[in-house]
Amino acid sequence: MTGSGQVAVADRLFTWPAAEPRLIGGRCAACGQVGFPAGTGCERCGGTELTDTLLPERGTLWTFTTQNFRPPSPPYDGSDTAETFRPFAVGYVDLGGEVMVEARLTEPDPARLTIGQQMRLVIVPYATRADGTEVMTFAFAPAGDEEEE
Amino acid sequence: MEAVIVGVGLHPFGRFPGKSAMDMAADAVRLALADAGVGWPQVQTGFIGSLEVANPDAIVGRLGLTGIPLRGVFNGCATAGSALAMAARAIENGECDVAVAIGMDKHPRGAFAADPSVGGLPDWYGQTGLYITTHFFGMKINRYMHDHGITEQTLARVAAKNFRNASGNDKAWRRPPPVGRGDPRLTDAELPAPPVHVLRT
Repeated sequence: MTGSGQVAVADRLFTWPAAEPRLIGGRCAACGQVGFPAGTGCERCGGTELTDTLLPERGTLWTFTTQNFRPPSPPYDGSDTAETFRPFAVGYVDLGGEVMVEARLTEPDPARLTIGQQMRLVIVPYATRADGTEVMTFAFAPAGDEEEE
Repeated sequence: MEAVIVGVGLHPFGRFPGKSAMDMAADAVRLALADAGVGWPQVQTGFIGSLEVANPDAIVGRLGLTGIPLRGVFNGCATAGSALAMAARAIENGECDVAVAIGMDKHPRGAFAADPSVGGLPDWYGQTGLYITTHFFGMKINRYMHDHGITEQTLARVAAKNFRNASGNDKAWRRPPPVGRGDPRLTDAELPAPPVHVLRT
């Protein structure tokens, strides 16, 4: 998964390249609240002393739906076109009860997704630049899919 | 002083090619003035908001440059509600006796294509296809249905009720021929973000 020809969509979003990538959240020194992505102020108490914290790589699916049309571009910059676009699932994943993260899901079939199921973090390409570089983002996959890979 | 609503005006919802949002709003204000039986020169202050119109207070160029303060309000989907609340406060605080609250907008067809940074969000959120209102509502209602045991048939009945109300309102945008309970148009329509449907009319 790591190597040349791939670039993360943004810095300080997830640890990568890494054998076991993790999302990077921000923990408030004053009240302990964890936010994602790591910002400059605590969303609960307004504290400004936040430290990067690695979020759990597994969580439970809190809700989901399907993105059934190609998102308006810009801002979307996936390499697909209106003709080649494939619907993808999006959801909120509850990570240890500390923070809920909105993300793409790798499983596009809603019949194979259930609220409450276990999910795990993966880093996936969502776009390919003209020079062939893959742009990587985070997503969640059903936790039972490891055997299929 | 207690604030009361003495007149209302509403332009029909719709895209009305060739007619600007500001012209639609000016028509609505004239309807409200006529409804209240007051002239624009009697209005002493106002609040006005829009998403797409960057300078909504320029509407005074159409209504009359009477010199009143017309202040811009922007609060997303709650913009007109904020404008109305502030107009009421202006009367209650004794600032004026007659105030106007105006909301206007006009959007191109399709999902909003917004720059995430304008909403205080990082660029990657839009780049990766997450900054979409329809799937936000799809996710929200799916969790609500899960928590409360609500079925898609129940949602369809709510939609049928709303379309029934719209059919009797000549200002409503979507006024389909009568939609009843169990109408396949409610559950088979285009699905931008399940279970959010779009019923084209």
